[in-house]
Amino acid sequence: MQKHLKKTLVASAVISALSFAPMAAQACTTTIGSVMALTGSLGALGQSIAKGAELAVDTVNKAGGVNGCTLKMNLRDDQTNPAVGVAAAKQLVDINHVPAIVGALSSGVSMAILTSVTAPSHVVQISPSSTSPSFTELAKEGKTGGYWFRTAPSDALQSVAMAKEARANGLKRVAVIYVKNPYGEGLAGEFSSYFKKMGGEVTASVPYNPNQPSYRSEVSSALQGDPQAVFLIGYPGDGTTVAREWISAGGPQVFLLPDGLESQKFVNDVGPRYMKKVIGTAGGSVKTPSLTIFKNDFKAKYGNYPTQAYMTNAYDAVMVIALAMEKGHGTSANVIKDNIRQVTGMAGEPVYAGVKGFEKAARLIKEGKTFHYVGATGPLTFDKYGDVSGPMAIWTVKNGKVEQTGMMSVKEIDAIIKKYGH
Amino acid sequence: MIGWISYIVFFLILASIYAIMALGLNLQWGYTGLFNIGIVGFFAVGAYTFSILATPDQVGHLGGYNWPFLLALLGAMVMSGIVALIVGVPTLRLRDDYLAIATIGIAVSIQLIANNLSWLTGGPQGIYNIPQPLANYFSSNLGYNLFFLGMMMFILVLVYVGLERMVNSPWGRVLMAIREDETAAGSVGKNAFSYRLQSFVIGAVLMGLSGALYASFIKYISPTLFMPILTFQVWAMLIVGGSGSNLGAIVGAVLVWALWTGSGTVVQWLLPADIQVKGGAIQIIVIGLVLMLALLFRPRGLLGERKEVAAEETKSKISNIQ
Repeated sequence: MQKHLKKTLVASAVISALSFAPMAAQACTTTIGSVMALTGSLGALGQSIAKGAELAVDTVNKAGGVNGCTLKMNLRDDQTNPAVGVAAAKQLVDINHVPAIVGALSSGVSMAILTSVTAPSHVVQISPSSTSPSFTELAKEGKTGGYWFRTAPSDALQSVAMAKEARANGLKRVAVIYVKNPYGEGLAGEFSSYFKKMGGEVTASVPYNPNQPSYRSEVSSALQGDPQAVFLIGYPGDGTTVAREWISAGGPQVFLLPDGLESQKFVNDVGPRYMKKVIGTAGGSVKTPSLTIFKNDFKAKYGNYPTQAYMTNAYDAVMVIALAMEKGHGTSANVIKDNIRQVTGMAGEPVYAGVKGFEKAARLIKEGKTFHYVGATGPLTFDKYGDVSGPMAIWTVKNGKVEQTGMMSVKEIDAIIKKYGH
Repeated sequence: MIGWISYIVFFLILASIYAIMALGLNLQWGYTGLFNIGIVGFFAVGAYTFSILATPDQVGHLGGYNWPFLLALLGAMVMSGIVALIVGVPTLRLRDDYLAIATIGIAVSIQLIANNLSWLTGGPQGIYNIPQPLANYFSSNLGYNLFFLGMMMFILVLVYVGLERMVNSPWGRVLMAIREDETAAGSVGKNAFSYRLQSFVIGAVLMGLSGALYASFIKYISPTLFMPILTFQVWAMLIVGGSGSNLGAIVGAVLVWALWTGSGTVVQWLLPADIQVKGGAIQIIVIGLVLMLALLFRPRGLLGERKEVAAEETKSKISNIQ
């Protein structure tokens, strides 16, 4: 740790010398807020996701802070409950005067915070994991005031990639079984609409409620209509139960799996030999130097590699806020809002994650050069509604191991969306 | 400074929404002895009814009636009353713990209906664009919240005065008589079932009103909100404030909501940055600890008045037999 710190100090000293700027004395503090589920039904996920965000805060501080000030994140628990989340967010905004809030995790909590706290108070809100299409609708109606962003790609992108891959693999008749929440519903709906437009047929679309002991009736109604494959949307746990019952009911052992089930544990629990063919998609696990940097930094700070979805999204949310403040030479919500698109997108030089990445960005800002941040989740481009678009990773199970096999770029996805309409 | 004022206004609005629920529960439990642990169900019915009636055009679910605020509020109250009537007729014949099991089951069912009946409730996506009364007349957020707080105070006083008059009338004395000894009340010609049903329905109407006000203030509802924890919060409020006292229900709501939301700040101050992610768990421990201490030192709550005359008599009867 000590050694690492020394190295960092030397590195930052060298870089500041190069950029002819003296190291700023870090006497000041800039505080941003975060509301995440640390307890409640998403508690286990939330504690890890929060670590991703805290790693980014650490990284920024090691790189000299934001505008020479120490970055601090005031982290609050929403207990996976909208009323508690709203109260926590309001405290952060009114009492701690934060210009930006990272969170929340579940769409239900994020939306309540957005409509009652951040949008009326003009504070930036970036969610690392809320995927509900309602946010885009709200933004289209102008009710977010442009203060809403998310670093998790919308369900539409993944659905497009999945529909395309399924057709490319010769599948025509697919049954969809999805968890009844905004994630499952969004993904299932978008997938069905694109798959149909591409000439496929969705034989059944069956929702299931979480935490049930058995899903036999859902599986048997999904089997009606003789599908060639199942698109199973959910998380390990309930997802494992559904997959096992699908196999034991004699369903075809061809699985289409989204990011929620890109998990070695899921594959092990179901049994790889029963999964003859797996076509997987996932956003936010694109191989860039940033992802490697994130993984190594995470290991250095916490002692183990990151294991879970959305940690990188939380990391990127904090990095984007910090870069926007640096770029705009300010810390207000409007500075962040107006500069987020200046530090992302595709223009200028790429800047990667980690201490060196942030230092490079700071140097480029001083030199007046344009750059774009390539996040741990991949290159980030925010549209006018605050939605992020990013490439999709294609994965499969080979010899019992989850393995990435290909990529679908933003351009490819955009082309498909244009071709088939939204 | 202005930040603190803004936050306190916001806090008091939410606290008074909870206070209305606690008042409803106080009528049911504090005065009538009905063990309702399905509060969140009636809260949900009120919130959804209001949202469906009051929202302008909606996509994907029932709605678009664009009713004026007060009418939609009334609609929400009527609907929660009807649901309470439907629930109450079969279940109020059950005693104590059976009523508890039935109500918690109904609350969970209502949450599942909200999550699954998408054409009616919007399903997991919830309902957004819920209108606020007179929102266009205010330019600043704080100004509007001040107005909303004024409205909440007015409603709260109205509910409080109304309940006080009811429980201090002959009608209220019958409720308490039933609470203490249903057989004795029946023997003097009072139809216990009818009184229990009235108390249950009026309490549920208040919970529905609370739900409607929550929906209007937050402008968004989804099934995530309507979890059993909310029922527990309201119970904690009533027990800490003192069941059997309407003022106690209000005081309890403010104190427990302050504990629930303020403990996060305390935990933030206390914990070093490295273990902030564990803050949520510590916050829950703090909440539990304070609630336990409150019960240990003030078992009847801060303003509790409930005198368990009958219970004392039963005890002495039992000891006589022994």
